[in-house]
Amino acid sequence: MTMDATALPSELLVTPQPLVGFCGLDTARVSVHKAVWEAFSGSLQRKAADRAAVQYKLLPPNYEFPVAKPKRASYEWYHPKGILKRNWMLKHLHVLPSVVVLFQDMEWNDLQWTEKQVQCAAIVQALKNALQERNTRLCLVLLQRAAPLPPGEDLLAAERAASLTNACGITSKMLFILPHTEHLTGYALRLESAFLDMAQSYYALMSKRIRNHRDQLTAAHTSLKIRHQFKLGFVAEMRQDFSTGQKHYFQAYANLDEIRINDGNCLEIKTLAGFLNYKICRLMFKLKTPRDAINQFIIHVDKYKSRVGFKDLAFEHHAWLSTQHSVFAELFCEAIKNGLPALQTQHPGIYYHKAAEFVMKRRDAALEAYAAMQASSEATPTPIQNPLSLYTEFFGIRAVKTGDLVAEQQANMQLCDQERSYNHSAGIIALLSQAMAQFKIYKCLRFRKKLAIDMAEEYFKSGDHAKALTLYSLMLPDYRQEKWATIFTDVLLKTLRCALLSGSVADYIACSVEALSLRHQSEQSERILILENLWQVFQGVPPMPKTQLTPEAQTLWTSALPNVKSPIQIDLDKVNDVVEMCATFERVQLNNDDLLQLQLIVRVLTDVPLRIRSFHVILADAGNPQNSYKLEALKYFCFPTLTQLRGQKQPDDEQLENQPQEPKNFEKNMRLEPGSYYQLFCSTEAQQFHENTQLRIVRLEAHMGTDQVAALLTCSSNYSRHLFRHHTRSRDLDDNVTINPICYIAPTFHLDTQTNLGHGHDNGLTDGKEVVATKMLVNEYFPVVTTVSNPYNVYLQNVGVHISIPVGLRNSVFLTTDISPGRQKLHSQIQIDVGELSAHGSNTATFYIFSLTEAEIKLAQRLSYTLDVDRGPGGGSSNARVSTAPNSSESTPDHEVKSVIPSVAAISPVQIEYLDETRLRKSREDTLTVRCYGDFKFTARFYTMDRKPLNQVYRGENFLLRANTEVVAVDDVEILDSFFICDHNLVQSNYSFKQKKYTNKYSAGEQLESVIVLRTNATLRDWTTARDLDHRGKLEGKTVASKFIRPVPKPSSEEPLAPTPPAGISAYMSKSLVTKIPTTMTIINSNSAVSNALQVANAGVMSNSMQSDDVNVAEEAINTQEGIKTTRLIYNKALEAVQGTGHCRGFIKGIYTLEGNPSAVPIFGVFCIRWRRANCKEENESKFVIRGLDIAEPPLNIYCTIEEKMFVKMPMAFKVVLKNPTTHVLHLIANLSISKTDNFICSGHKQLDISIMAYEEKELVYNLYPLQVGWQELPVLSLEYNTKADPQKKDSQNALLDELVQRALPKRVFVLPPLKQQNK
Amino acid sequence: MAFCIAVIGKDNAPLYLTTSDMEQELDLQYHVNAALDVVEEKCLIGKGSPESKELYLGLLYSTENHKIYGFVTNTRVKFIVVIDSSNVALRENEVRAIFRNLHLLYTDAICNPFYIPGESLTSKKFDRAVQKLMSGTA
Repeated sequence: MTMDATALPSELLVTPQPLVGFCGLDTARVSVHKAVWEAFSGSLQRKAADRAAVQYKLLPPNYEFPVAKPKRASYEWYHPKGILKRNWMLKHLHVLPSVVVLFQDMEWNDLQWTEKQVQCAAIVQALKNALQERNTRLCLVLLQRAAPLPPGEDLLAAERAASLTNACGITSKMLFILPHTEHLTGYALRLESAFLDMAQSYYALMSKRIRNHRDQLTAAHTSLKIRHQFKLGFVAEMRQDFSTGQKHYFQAYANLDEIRINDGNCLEIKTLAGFLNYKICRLMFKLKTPRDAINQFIIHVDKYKSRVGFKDLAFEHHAWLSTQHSVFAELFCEAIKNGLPALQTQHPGIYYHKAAEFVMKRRDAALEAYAAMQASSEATPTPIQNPLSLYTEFFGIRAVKTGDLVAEQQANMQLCDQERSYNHSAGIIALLSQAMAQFKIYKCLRFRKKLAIDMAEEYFKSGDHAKALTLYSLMLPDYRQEKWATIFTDVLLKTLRCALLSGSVADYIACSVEALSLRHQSEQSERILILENLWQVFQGVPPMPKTQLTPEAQTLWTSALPNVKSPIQIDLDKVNDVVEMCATFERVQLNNDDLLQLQLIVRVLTDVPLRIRSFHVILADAGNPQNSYKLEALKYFCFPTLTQLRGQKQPDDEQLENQPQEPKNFEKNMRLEPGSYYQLFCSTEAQQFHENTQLRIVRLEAHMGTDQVAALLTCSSNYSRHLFRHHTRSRDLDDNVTINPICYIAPTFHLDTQTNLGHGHDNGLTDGKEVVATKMLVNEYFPVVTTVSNPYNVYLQNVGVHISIPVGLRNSVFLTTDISPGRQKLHSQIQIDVGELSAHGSNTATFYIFSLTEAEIKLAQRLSYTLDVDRGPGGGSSNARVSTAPNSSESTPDHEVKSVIPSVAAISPVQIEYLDETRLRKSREDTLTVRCYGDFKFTARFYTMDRKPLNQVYRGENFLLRANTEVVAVDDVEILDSFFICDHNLVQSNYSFKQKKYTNKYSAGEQLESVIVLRTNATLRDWTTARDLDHRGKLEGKTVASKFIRPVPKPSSEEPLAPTPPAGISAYMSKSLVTKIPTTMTIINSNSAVSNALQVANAGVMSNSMQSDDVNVAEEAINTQEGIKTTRLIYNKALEAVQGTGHCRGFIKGIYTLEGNPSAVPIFGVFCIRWRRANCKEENESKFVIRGLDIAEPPLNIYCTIEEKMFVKMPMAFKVVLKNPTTHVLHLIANLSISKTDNFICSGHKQLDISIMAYEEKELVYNLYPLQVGWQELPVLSLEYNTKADPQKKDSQNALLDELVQRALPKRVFVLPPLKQQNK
Repeated sequence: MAFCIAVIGKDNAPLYLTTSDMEQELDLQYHVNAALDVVEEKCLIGKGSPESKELYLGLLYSTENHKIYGFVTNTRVKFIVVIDSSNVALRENEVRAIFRNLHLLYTDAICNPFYIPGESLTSKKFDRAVQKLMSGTA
């Protein structure tokens, strides 16, 4: 039982429940009993929601029931000493059961039934005696092992039950059987409802008795009335009749008003009012009328708020109020837990908070009372009596005789004394923390903060400075953010005080620095004091004069100071308004060898001067922020106003004169005056940073203090401009300063290149001469000279130029470094090693571009070198030259090397890789653009011998190839030679015997023509190709193919390959060709010792495709025969290639090489033009592939021979040779008809039947004697099949034959006049 | 009549605050600060229908000694008025009138071209007028 008069007793707080007492159970020893007890009372049961609220009590065998008081006959003159007895509720809750249940182990068929029955009856009798004068019900439960039989069947049971009830003197309804089998819980539940019924009737009876009592009372018995109402309410609650209970409680509460309150009974009335109010509110919440409950509580508090009672015991009143609030808050919480929704403005937190406030008032009152007591009674306070002696058996009544002033005084003093031992702070803090939890739930975060501040204050008052400091410093950022200056100042100063008292150096320094800000509403003198104290701390001395510091704090400080983890970080982003700092890079971009310069602008925002030990700027790579660098500011300028700082930014002459020429050196602990602007400078060499990185200002740091203790004011560099701010030019820093938060360290590339294109720069050094550039032509080896120079004082190694052709042009554009006669290795990418370049050295690299198409060629040029990183500090900077590092030397065909001024490119084209610790490789990608122009436009056409367009070639017949060439080259060219290299299956002869001469220079637009007679001796099917040769060679066991394939030379080899390797092949070729196909050994070109045969060797075959017969495309397909190789070998100079084969004609391996796309159209040969630029030495060849026609097998070959010159009256032979190319015998009828008889006189067979054997020839000879001069029509020979001799031939085939004849035989002949000699 | 009149910016930092009792100022500031919780909550609820938005928020909360009323402008500037709880005579209409007048005074004050939006109100004229309003003699 608590002795605190104001607290509510625990019996009041619980929900009253009917009490049922169990006896006869020996739970300690008998397991069955234990199981039964647990079935009723155990946690198992409590889970059932629908379970009736019953409280069980295990009664020991000799339990003493309270003795009932003798009934009073009349209450007329009865005056109770108090309203409610302390033990009444307890008695009915825990002591006096409404039902007593006796458990007995008795089986119906027990052998010792009679003895047990007697024993049981005795116990029942004893209980009955004990419960005399009570209405307590008694019932008997038999614990049996077996399940009972249905009633009426077990005769023995019925009989014995009857005898037992008789013996015990109870009704049969009071006898229960509890079989302790598996369904114990179920049985227990059923029994419980039976017990509850009995309990209900007991309590109903009880309330009836109380009502009887009440009805006897007169109006004078107010206190008794209240008591009875309370009891009725309580009993109603026991019966679970809550609305009745509430009614009674409310009646009692109303009756309290009838009692006049004076100092003496005030405590009792308030206590009772509190009890009743609690009950009412609780039931109201339970009955789902929370508004009523809250109203009731507010009315209650209003009613009794002013009833203080004894002035000396005001603290008691406050304690009572506090309890009222906290208890109500708990009720509220309980209701919320049961589903009541609360509001932001109406929730338990408010009541907890009020409760806490009342505890504070209670403490104040107690202190007051104690002080008053000390002052008034010099006499020593009476020795502490037993505190219990102050209380009576009634609630709220002291054991002091009313009206006895001295005794009252004594009692009050004693209470005061007791009050002093109460820990108010703990109570306040507990209540506040509960309130905070509630406020947090209901989204009152600011209120919660306020509560936290209150709590911190309470900790502070209770002397727990460390906890107070923790709480304060937690709240500090919140209020800082809110920008409530007054509140923040309050909190800050309190924090500072806590830090001072708890000896927390870090917090003390942080708070002091923040307290220097002008935002805090205090005087300058206070700030100076703060500053002085701060410096004292920095110097390792506790702040404040010793006299003002308690000894405990003094010791705390002396022990804390040596252990300070200096420096103490203070984030100026949060603690603003003390020092403003911003930093900027002097330049946005820097070269690697430049000096990196930073500006730091600092201003003291408060009105006291600050001493700053040093300023630092932390930089970091944007790429990898863990690389950070710290720079210290060493020099400074000081400007009293911002305009001067601004003036310095834009130096004009006047300003420069006024300015101090040199910045001053920054000294340690320099004093920064408030209001002035300090411009500080940091500088370092950019070399120490990685190249090609962006440097970012990460943090600005200002050191304040001494070596032992220091504060580190840090501030992030995120200097953001405020949008929509008021523009004050003289005030805002960001209007006056440009901030470059990022600096790009551009890498230095130590090489410059200059590219010269075209002819005329053989030495590669133009020496500034103006040279007309030549334009690149197709099929030309176009020289490119790249001059690589090193303008730096650096020794570079492994300098290399790597040129590559874009992927799209790899089949038509090639590179080479070597154009020595014979052949060239062609590559799609080349690497030219320049070697080493000493300081200021230069070197050239020459290469040639060869293109087969007109296109714009964009070559990727990549320069690379390695250098030692670990170079001397003066290495780069001694060179005064400002590097134009990202100098993209994009060379255009018109020969200008443009150097692009370094733009503000974020990403440099320079790549840097670290080979190892000391060496790095730098490379740069550029593009080299060359436009390639056409050389010739070439068309070719086939004609028959009589100059008709040819659609089909017949085997063994001559036809014409007419090749037209048009010069399209932009520059003048000299054509040295042109020739046709035909396939070896074809026979070539000149159409005219005139020697072609190319002597002139040709310029664009001029045209050339050449006509060539061709003949084939085989149809397309029978063409011998290189493959056949291969095949044949293989059959002979020779690895021909391997001989055709020359070993791939090493691409890196710079030496020109000797033209000898074809020797083996040529030997073989000549041999095989001579031996196998000797007929092909034909020398065609009489003017040349060289036979125009082309041996296209293995890889790098010039296999071409020509679009029909008039397209000039010469495409160099890549031989995929041996897989793709980066290096391809091309016999480029056709003539030399022919020489390489031993003057054999070769195969145009179109079919052979284009295996991916074998064309049905044969290739008849390559037309080749050798040319050179005017005034140049290098010879070039343009080759055009001539795609042929289908070669058909004619049914008959007709060769007509007619003399070249015919003269009048000179006989001549007109010989027609008919050759049968087939395997059959041909039977023909030849008819010669002379249409005009006066032309010729003709002799010979006019009509002749001819039979020609297979592959045989037949000659028809006619003698013609021309009679007239001029164009004369020849006699017409017509052939037709002899259908008689050869019935297979049809007339229709005669048409074909006729066509053949028409084509083959000349129609007219020119007859010359007779020769003079003849005439003579 | 009123204990305290406060004008609070949209970022919840005070623009102007005056109290009739300097001794209680800190306590009142805490109260006004805490009242912002309720203001925020009420504004949050009112967000659904901006058309019919009532600027006057009514009683925010009351303590034993104070009643705290709130008002929020369309630009989220809050006016808080703290009134003595014991003054039963004061009707809600009068509180509304105070807010209406305060709103007018505020708009007048910020119409000053030299006033920087978001900074604290230092206008003497405004201060005088608010003091009058507070004492009930406006």
